[in-house]
Amino acid sequence: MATSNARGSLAPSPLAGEGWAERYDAHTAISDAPTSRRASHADLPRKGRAEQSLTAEIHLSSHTFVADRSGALYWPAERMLIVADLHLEKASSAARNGTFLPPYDTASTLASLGTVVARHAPRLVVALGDSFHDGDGPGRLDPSDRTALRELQRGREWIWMSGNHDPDPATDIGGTFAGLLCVGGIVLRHEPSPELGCSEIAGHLHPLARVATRARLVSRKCFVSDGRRMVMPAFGAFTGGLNIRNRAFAALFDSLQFTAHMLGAARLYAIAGARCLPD
Amino acid sequence: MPVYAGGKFPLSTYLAARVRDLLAQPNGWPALPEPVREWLGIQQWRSRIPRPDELLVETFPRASKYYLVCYPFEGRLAHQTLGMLLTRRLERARLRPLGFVASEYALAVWGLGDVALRVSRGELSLDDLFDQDMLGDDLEAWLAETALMKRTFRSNAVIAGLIERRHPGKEKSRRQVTVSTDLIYDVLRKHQPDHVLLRAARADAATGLLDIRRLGEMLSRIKGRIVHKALDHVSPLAVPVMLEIGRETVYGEAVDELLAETEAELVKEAMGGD
Repeated sequence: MATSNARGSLAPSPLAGEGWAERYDAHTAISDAPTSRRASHADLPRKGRAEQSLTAEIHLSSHTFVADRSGALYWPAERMLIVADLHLEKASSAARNGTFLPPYDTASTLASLGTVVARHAPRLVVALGDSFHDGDGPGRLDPSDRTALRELQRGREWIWMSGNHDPDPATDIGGTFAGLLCVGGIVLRHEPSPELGCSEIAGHLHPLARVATRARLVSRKCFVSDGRRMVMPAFGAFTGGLNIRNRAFAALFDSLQFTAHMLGAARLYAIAGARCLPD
Repeated sequence: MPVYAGGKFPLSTYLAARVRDLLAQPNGWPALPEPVREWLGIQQWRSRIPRPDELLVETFPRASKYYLVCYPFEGRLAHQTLGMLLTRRLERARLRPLGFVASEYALAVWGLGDVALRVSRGELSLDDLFDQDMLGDDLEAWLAETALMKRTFRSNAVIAGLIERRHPGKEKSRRQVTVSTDLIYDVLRKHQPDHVLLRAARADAATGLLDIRRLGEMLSRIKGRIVHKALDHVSPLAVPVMLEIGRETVYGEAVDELLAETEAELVKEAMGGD
């Protein structure tokens, strides 16, 4: 697999030894990849085994993904786990500006990540950008957190994607770095792009859905998907959300033709975009 | 913004007893103003005037939710504690409580489950629901998980300057960091349970949210003396506490059920059903 690093040039793949180089498209082949069909009932979660569990199936461009209640996304065919917007060291970043939040967000986020990694046992973990709240975050990692991270990376591949908060590769956090990935005709990048050549999974926007239930309004982080493009919820412990009715999402999805997969306590809930309310 | 609710002193037991007596003696009613007499008269006709030594429990459906209103006359704090106790027990009984509101003389609890139906079928006992033995309910441990506790923590966090109040429309400056206090609360409980703000929230809860002693006394007083009136709409006596619902509500925990319902409606629409 050829990956593009943060500065935009093509770099040889460090994963080629596993035979992955033959299976993945190169960066330049993105525009040739087939576009997928429009949103339909297919992106509602399938009932059955998934119904009682912490996950739900989401389909994107003929591939099946498993959305986890924690906010992570698992791709069974590739044994890849994707998490977005970890915002590690957000509390210590705030402390530098005089706001002293309890500095346990990194430990908490890594613990949650550990749980979902144990649940799916992926071969590859992709952190979809804004993994650190700022570029100096890696340097501020607590030794225990650094050890926890190393434990998570043991026995598997790890790719840090560049985000707007952490655009440059860092040292001493393991893994490799990429600006953009293309796998099986699906582009993985931090910030979703309004022009869409092929299917895309992105983060950056921290989607949050607000829904009127029988009794009251409920707001929850969510996956947003229309079968072609998916925006992932923010995984970090101290991350909140931006309402999916916000203008930033309108530029990406055609007039509410999307499904919000809301993160409940017990499982995920698929709600049509048209049912979601603005702030 | 955090407000000093100075006017809300708890109803004293003497005053409560006096009010209960007043209500229960119809020959004392001519001394009351005419609208009050009329109101009590309708209450007597539609439901029942609570007697001093009993606990009246009314149930009725309204706006696709099921309500349980009881009249302990023990003051807001004890009623709030009772509300939490009932919510915990109703949850266990799978009656999916959604919220409750307490006033000085009444408590209203509502949810998705039909309490009256379960009682009429003999599946739920009001005596058990109002049992005085609260030890097994882990009330204080359970309280730590609730929305009410998070709200208390939030007030403390704002006062302490940990976070700023978010003003809609105001530009978020680069230096400002907005984090929801609910997220901070969850993380703090796991990693530093003796944090001063958590201690402050628990202290607030012990004095400002719970009055277990007074509740325990009341529950033992009315043991075996619960009168249930299954109504098909709201009673006059319930109206004042029902009006408080918009103003000050405590949310129960049946949120996942609500989301499941909304999701099921979507699937039905998508399949062409109506």
